[in-house]
Amino acid sequence: MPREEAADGGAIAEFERLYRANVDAVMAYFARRSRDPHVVADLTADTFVAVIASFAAFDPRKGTARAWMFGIARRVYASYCEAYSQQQHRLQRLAGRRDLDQDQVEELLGRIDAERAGRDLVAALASLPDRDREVIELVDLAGLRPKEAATALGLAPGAVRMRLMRTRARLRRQATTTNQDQE
Amino acid sequence: MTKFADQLFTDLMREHGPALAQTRPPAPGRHIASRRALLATGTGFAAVAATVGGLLASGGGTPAYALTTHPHGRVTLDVYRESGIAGINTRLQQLGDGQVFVVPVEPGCPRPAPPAVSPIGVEISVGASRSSDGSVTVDAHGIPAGDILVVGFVTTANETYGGSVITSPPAPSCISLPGPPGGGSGSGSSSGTVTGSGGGAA
Repeated sequence: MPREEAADGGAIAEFERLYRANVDAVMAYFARRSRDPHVVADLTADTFVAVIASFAAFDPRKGTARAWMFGIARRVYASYCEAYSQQQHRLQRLAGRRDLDQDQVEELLGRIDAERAGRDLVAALASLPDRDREVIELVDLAGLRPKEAATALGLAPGAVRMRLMRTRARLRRQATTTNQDQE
Repeated sequence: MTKFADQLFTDLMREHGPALAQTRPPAPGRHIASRRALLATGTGFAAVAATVGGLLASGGGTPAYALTTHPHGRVTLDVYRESGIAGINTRLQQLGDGQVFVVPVEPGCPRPAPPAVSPIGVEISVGASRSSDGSVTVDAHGIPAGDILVVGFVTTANETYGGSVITSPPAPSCISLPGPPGGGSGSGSSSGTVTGSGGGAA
């Protein structure tokens, strides 16, 4: 029926628009967490499979699509870390690993290399509380607006702004101290 | 886009495009009813069918499904809407679990075939570990090699119930099961062992 066809095309077209607008940012998010191109590929794929699975549930009134996708990416990464910590990672990934040709591996390695500074920063932020670190990463590295980061993290926008100010101030103090120590 | 991104998009459309095509695109102002499916779980030797049912009040949450892995291969499944079935099966496959499948329960669908390996006529014991939020944990270790566990669920306007059956591969696209057991409506915590006997079709 024409109406159904229109609806179908709408969902796929809308997904494609969201995918093309966000796939690079999602890949970069994982490239800041892993140097393994297969892991980056798998987690990126997992994220968009989850996006498709819950596509109908996305409610634009609750935040932007980008914030929603980063919320999913966070959960995918948390699930990956949980599996890794349980030392089931290797077994589980045997079945789920994507086949990548050499071009794709090199392409992902390039992305991973490009995110080296961000990855180093994320590692350097390890001393921060989890939520503070995530706020800094989503806003200052991934480029989300504070309100979008709030949606992705399940926090109130005001709380995110407070954490952002507090954490940036703390980082500035740390940088100042480090510089003074080096001098 | 990069070659990887292009290839991933192609793969996603090939594997999930049909399901996505059945989805209405997100639209502002559209209320999406949230329904949670209780997935009953089963392990051990099944004759033909073991149905574990429960009724759950509508719950909150926007994802279509959730899957959490635990030590020793246990997996907690949470399905909120039928649209989550494809995704949760994909995740199960990615986790390397080839013995647990989630399918919808629909009238007119075939009843599961008898298991190829598990002995028919033997009383079965199905442990259903259900948390207060309705999620269910699957421990697939007890499923004999050569058989599979099919977890089916059905949703109505206000409630959901599910059941599981040990059967022989391949997994069907949908199944029919007996109606839900009486009583037991409402959310809450429940756990225990449900026993059933084989010999009859599911």
